[in-house]
Amino acid sequence: MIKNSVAGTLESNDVMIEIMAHDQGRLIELDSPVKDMFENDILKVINDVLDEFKIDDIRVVIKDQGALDYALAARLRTALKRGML
Amino acid sequence: MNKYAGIKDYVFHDYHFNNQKGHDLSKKQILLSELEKKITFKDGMVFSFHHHMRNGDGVANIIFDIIKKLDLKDITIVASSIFPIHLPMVELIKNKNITKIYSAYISGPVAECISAGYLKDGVHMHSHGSRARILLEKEIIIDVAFVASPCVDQKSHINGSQGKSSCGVLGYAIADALVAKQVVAITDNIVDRVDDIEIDGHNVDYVIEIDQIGDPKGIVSGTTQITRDPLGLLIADYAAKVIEGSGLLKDGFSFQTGAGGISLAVADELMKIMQEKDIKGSFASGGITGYLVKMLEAGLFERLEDVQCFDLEAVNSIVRNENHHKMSASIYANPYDAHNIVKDLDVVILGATEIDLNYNVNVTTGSNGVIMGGSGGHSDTAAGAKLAIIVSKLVSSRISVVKDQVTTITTPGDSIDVLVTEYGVAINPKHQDLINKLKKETNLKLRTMAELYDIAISLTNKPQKIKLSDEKVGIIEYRDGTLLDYLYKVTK
Amino acid sequence: MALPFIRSALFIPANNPGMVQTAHLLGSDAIIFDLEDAISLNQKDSARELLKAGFEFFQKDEVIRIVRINPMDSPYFNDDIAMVKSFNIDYIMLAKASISSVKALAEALSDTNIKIIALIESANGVLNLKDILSASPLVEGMLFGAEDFALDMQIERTKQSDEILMARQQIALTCKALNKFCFDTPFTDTEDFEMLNVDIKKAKAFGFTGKACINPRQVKYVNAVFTPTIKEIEYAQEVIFAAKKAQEEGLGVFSLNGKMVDAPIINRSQLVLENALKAGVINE
Repeated sequence: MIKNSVAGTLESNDVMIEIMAHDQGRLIELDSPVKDMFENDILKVINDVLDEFKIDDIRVVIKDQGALDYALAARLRTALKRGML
Repeated sequence: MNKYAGIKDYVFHDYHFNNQKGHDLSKKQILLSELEKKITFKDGMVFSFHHHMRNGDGVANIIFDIIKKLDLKDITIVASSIFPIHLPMVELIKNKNITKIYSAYISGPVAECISAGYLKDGVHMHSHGSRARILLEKEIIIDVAFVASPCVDQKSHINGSQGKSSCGVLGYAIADALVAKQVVAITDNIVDRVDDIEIDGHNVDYVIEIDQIGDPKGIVSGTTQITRDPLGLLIADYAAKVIEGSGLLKDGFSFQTGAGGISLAVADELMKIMQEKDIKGSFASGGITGYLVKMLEAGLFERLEDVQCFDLEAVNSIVRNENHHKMSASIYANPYDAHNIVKDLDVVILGATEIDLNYNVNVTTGSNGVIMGGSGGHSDTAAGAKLAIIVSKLVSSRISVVKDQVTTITTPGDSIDVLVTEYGVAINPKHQDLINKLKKETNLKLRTMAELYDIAISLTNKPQKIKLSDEKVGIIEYRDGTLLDYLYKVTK
Repeated sequence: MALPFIRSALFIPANNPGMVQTAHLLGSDAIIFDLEDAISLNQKDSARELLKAGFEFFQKDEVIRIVRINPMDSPYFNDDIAMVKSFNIDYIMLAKASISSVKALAEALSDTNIKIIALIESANGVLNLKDILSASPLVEGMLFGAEDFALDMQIERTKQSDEILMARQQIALTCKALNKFCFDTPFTDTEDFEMLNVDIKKAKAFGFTGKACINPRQVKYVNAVFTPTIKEIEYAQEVIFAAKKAQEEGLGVFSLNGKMVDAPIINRSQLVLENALKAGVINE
């Protein structure tokens, strides 16, 4: 069971990640100034963390400001821990 | 070290003649509405304008009104730079009224429009020095030069540093005024006699007075503040140490720096060192900011050589300080001009959007290939200076400044000497002496460009290559006219 | 035992990726990743998660890594320790350090190489300093937190810092007697570099071995004051040279420039040269 939760900020080098319940697979919405260059890397990090938490159905809304992989993973983990009941 | 053939002394554009008679204003002054009757505007003409009004320009849009009203076709625009305020060009480009553009710098909607492929015959990008060469060598003939003129007098002489729309100096308008078939001066300030003549009245064909040629707030908006970002300050500190370690920082030192936050911080560091060690420099040049004025007034330089005033302090200084000199783009950076101030530069501080493993620098496009700038004086000063130093963060918001290959070459790698980043300093391998000296005498973290690249990749991962289309939308020429690179169409 | 050469320790909020990932470039000898006062209560989890990911991602380099954890009486103490101890961190800085909280922390860290820095920020902290520093051999040093100390004392905190004069001196005295390093309290006006310099020099004069910074621009000032000066280095070199000569001649004590030089002075000179080397002011 996932409840709506947020983690992270909109500062440079950070990312704000919001998670919501969604019952048809993983819906990942990515907004990033470096989408052209790193979309695949960002999605991989998100999916790896979701695998870690064994989540198959969720909506993840990502507002990226150029966060590195470690920050993306950390922010998602925080949102998940806050949102999982 | 002028490797360019045909060095000329363009004496006829020496600023400081004051006995020229000019021509009576009464014979030249017309109303704006009369211009179309006086000049036979035709398809295929070439019009030029300067960018000293920056994003407060109120004159260039007059040109666009004329083109639109008369539905002129196949017009070429030769503009020293193009800013967001020149938005009306977009419609004219799309409708093929304007089909070709020459410029040293383009940002905003016009840049995006060109990158999207709308400009029929493409854009020809060049440096500030190249523009002077192109015009003075008559590689292109200007039919009508529109010169925004802060002050015009009764003999039609033009001066850039008087009046409510003063911009300080008209460095980028001089060549236009000398070679254009017709010169139209547009002013908001007519006086009896200008304090100094920048463009002699005999070059002027028509003078038009309007309410306001520009918005003063937009005119003097070129400078930023010294950066407060600790990483920017760190980079400035490293850059100052490189300069000190190079041995160039002694009496007679000459220097140029940009108007950005880190560049100003470097100037600040140098000022402290020069004051401490009682060093008297010879000149600082380029686009002049209040910061360099401060250094002049503190006695750290004998003179300033100014091609463009970035802020109000520079504008005020140029009026009251006889050691603050005006210079034309040709005197500044034309490789065929005997003066070519940049050849006498010891150090220049520059920025970069991208720099690659061969030290090639891109300041023209973003990594997606869209035009967002241009050389301006970049390739000129890099070629002329003994030490051309790029200051930039290595990685910021996941974007690395070091790439394996730049998207577009603005300045070739053999004229770039040093890259200073927060992760250390890369010195062009051709300067083994400098590398050894800095290794011995400083604590600077010296790295190869490849090492910096590896550090960046270890942080961000390797970026996906953005594939550019094959369709060309323009060229980039080097200072001597040779082809440096192409610009390609970018579709969303 | 020689104390570690840590002139400056820069506070970095642990919840800020931009700062966490570049802190090691800013020139301080140590970074204090702050999970305590820099982090609001509803972001404690976020900061801890980010710092954890950061430690996994970034290699350890020469900069000393300190993590300031929340005090024992907070709900975050145990989670903070559990996270930090899985990494090769140099020190945990314990807020509101007391004999019992130091013992509890030391117990938790007994299976690691992590050492402890006690944060002393109250009247009791200053009075009981000797016992707090002795509560565990893992305690290698301390930081004086004058802002919270002034609150506890119900006195006004000033730039002149007369009100903390005795506390500072007592702290330096105690640390020296127990051979612990001590960081002076950070200077809170980040625009006043003139007074910052005055404050750092006071700290050095009292016997502090370093000073905390709350802004990267303070770092170079702190490093400069706590770095051996040319004069100090030259004197130390003279002493060592003369000591070698004296040893060859079989003399235990000798005279240099009219002053008696014995073992403590020789040891101190040795230390100055070692520190000068570490600071990069001399090459050997």
